Amino acid sequence: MAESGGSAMPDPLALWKQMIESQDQQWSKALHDMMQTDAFAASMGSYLDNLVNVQGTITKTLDQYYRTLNLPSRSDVTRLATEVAELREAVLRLGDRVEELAERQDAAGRSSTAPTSAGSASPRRAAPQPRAGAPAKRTGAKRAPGSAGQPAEG
Amino acid sequence: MGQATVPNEDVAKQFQREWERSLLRYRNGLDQVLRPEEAPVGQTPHETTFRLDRLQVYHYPSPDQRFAPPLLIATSLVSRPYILDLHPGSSLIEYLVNRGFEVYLIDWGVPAEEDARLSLDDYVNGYLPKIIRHVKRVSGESEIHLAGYCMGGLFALWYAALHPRSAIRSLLCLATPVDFEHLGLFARWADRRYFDVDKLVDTFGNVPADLLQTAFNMLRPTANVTKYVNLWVNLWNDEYVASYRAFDRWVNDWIPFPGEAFREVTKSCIWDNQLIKGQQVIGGKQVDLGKIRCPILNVAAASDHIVPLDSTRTLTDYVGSEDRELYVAKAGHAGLVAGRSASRGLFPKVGDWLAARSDEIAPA
Repeated sequence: MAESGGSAMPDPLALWKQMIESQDQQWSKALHDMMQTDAFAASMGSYLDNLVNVQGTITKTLDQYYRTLNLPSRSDVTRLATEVAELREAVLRLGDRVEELAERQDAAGRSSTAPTSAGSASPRRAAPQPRAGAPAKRTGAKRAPGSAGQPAEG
Repeated sequence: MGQATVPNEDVAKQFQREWERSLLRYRNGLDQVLRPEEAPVGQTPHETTFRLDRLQVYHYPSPDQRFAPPLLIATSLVSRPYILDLHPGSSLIEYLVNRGFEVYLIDWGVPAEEDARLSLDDYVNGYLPKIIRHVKRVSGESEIHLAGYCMGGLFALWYAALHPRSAIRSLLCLATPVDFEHLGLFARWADRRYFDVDKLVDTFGNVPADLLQTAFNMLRPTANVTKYVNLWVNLWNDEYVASYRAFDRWVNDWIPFPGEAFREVTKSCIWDNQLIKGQQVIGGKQVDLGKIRCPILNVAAASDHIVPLDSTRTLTDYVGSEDRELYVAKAGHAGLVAGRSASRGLFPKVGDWLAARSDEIAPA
């Protein structure tokens, strides 16, 4: 609708958006207040409990079904995958330990005058290389209190 | 008898503008319906520099690096990390890279069934130290800036508290909950009287993604209505639509939550609020936030409905750092780190703060 006096038409979309947002605020508050109650939390818990019970029943039934057919169930596959993952972790831990020992050996070898044994299989970790293009000298080193001079652990 | 008012030039222009916008709305609307392919995200150039089990670490090199040491960012287990590199112009990572920082981002990956056994100890004392060692090695630095968004901030805090001698130049926590008594609806729904977390985890293993999505959507049940209203009003705007599609992709891209980690977070954090009480134990060691001495910037979102302000703002009260700052942004949980207002507010704040605690590298 045109207003007299030459002023612009109100934007109908903006008015509609404003109306929706106003309604949304009221609904949001009402729903939020309801969802904060103990009764709502209890009903959510009850719903979740039922969902878990149903899932548990389905899982057990399917496990039994696959077992009858002499086929691996999801639980079996998960158990196997878990064992493989744990085995892998053990191997990685061993690898970390070997690397740690190798570094200690290298460090001990560097600090003593005797040469390190030839043919050592322990890989020497390369010293950090300066980044390509980065000059060796930095300007304005800014070290915050508490962090300067602490040995790296991680 | 009144005279009929002749529409003046402004009204005619307004009509023309709305008519053109309506045509653009139809075009973009059809595009949205007929080409629903996923919006491109994570477009800042990067490469995978580290892989271990499901996780990957992405390296975002700076074309004109001006600061050291590098920044390593940890994100939540529950959502995809590309929220920090959502869309050109709305990407925190893009901003920092262009500002001259070398950035690394942890993508925890999608947990498989066997990952249900992963506990907080596995992440904080297993994965994180390996990742940090790797970043230091490849960057040639002895220190890093460590940052975390949402639960990623918790990982950063736990690591910094449990490894106080680890060379962390500074800590940046974005929307990180520490006081779980003020977690809002999540804390109410996870009430131990009604929520049997053991039964849930023992049955499902990993907490299913759709269950998490439902819970998060319930925090703002009317959001889907207002979302489409805003979309319709702005559908003519190509930039808005591109940004909306990227954001909508992230909002609907949920992943399962590793079961043991979920159980621990529920019991130790949500039920007992152990972190700020100094009672939390991870990997057999007590987490003492007071042992954190490095500079820390705690960024909180004033309108965060997922991690309410009251649950994040008190972090700086518990750390032992002398250089500590709380910055409260006028934003919601996701809007804190992505979007145009973030690019005008948070990004320069984080850039300036990090720059002041970094070494400047003279140009070659």
